[in-house]
Amino acid sequence: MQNNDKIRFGGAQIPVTADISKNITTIKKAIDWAAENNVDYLVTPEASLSGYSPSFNSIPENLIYALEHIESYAAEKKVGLCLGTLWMEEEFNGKQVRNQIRFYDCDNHWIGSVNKNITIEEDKAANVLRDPVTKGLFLPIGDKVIPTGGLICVDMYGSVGTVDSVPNIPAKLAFYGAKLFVHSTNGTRGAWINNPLKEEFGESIQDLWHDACFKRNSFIHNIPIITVDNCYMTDGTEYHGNTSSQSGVLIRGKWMTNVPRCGTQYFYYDFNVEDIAISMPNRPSV
Amino acid sequence: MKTNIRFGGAQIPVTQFQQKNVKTIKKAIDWAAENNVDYLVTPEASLSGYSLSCYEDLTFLETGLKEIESYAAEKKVGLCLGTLWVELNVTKDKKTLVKRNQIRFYTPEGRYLGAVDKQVLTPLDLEIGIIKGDGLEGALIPANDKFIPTVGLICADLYGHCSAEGGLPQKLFNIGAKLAIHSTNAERGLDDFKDNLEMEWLEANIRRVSYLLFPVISVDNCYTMAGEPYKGKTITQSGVCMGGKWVIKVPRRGTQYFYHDFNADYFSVSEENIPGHAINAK
Repeated sequence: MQNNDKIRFGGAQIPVTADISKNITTIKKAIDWAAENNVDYLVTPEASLSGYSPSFNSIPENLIYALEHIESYAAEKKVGLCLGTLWMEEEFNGKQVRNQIRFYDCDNHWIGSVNKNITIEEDKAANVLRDPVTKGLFLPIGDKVIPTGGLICVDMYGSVGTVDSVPNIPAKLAFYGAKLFVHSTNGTRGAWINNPLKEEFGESIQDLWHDACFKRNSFIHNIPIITVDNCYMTDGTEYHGNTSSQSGVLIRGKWMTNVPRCGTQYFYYDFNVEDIAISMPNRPSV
Repeated sequence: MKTNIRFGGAQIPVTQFQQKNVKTIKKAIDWAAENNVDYLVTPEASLSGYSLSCYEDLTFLETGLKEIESYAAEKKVGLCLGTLWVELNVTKDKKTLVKRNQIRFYTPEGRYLGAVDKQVLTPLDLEIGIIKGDGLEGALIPANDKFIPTVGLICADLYGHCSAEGGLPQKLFNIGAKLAIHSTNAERGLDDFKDNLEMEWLEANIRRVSYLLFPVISVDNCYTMAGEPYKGKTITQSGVCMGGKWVIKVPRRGTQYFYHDFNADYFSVSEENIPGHAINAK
């Protein structure tokens, strides 16, 4: 923690590839940057460890290793994590693939995970199951906690592209008392490569929509957002164009950071603890 | 045989006084008739006004509607009329009156095609006691010997995201809707920064829906939502948006009329291809 008044959240707009070993190297590099910059919690893009692979039928052996490796490395460097990854959860009705954000404090305590509520075609291709339960968790900071909502990609926007009834996840989390939205994303981008006339315009429409949703959600709920996108294509291939959505921090409808839309970018923002944390002497054990 | 069908929009003042509203709508119908408009779209609650007071005298509301219906039929103008209304709900045991926020569709000959009820209700709707619509409904607008499967989206129905419902435009598209009529009347003029955020968000939603799904004809009230005179910008752009672009964009202040010619062949379907399970008049 910077001091008793501030907490530093960092974001790593990094390449998310289909190669887990490459992703490990990338995330470790981001953790190094976070440690050097005294970041308390580092946010990574959706599926940043696993890759957003369409062939995620079972949990690969190397993903278990990868997660353990990242957990230990972050703990060693004293960096808390909000780690976007696909993961196979052991649930009451068997194993389920989830698209989630896994939260850890800087001592490698696993605080909990938040699963994607609104799944899209890419999730279905990867056998990711939609989680109908919207939940948040408490990120410890000193003797306080930050009630945090984790949102994965379209969880932030809702989507006219989703056939299922679309709940309003930000509104639900706001109702539950969230004080911070952590948004890991990895949306479609670069589709214009094959159809320059049509899709480039489509991307500008999507960009307008993402931006408007971020601003509005941070304003009407009065909850800051930290959002982080992948800088490669969704399928993990190399890409040098604009990310699908802006990475950075928004407060009350305004971008507080200015992160370039292309390539690897790290950023951090110091939040006032009193703005986002609450005292909770009897908070549940992590 | 006409190949084009002309839809017009009337960005007009929506007040709490029905007599004033009737006069305003009749003036818009005059404009529509002079400009050979086939169907005229009006803002949300444009006849009733957007307040509880319209329910104080139901006879008055009914008389106003009849006057508009007759006038439009006389002038050969079809209507997509935004209004609060009350409907009789008959169940096995009882008959009740149900308050609705709806768009009522009429042909240029004055034939009532049906109404679409608002589904994504706002705090004001709830305060008034509006009951949300359900199902996937629209109107089959006759075009030559075919029909345009048209949906009515009332204000937040188009955006969805601000409610627990959401996704309505996509659902309507999935069952074959080809054109969206959007009558709106949202809050505006409270705070510049908030207004601008809201305008950006509404704009992004309309353009996205028109890009991914179907053309949108959107019409806003030019007064405040409470019906007071207002010199500021409407909160939603009125006009016609197709393929993510505004093909008609009217000034955001005051009374404005506009029209656009749609190629009926492109939008209409023959009787045997009418979307089976939904887009239909009540």
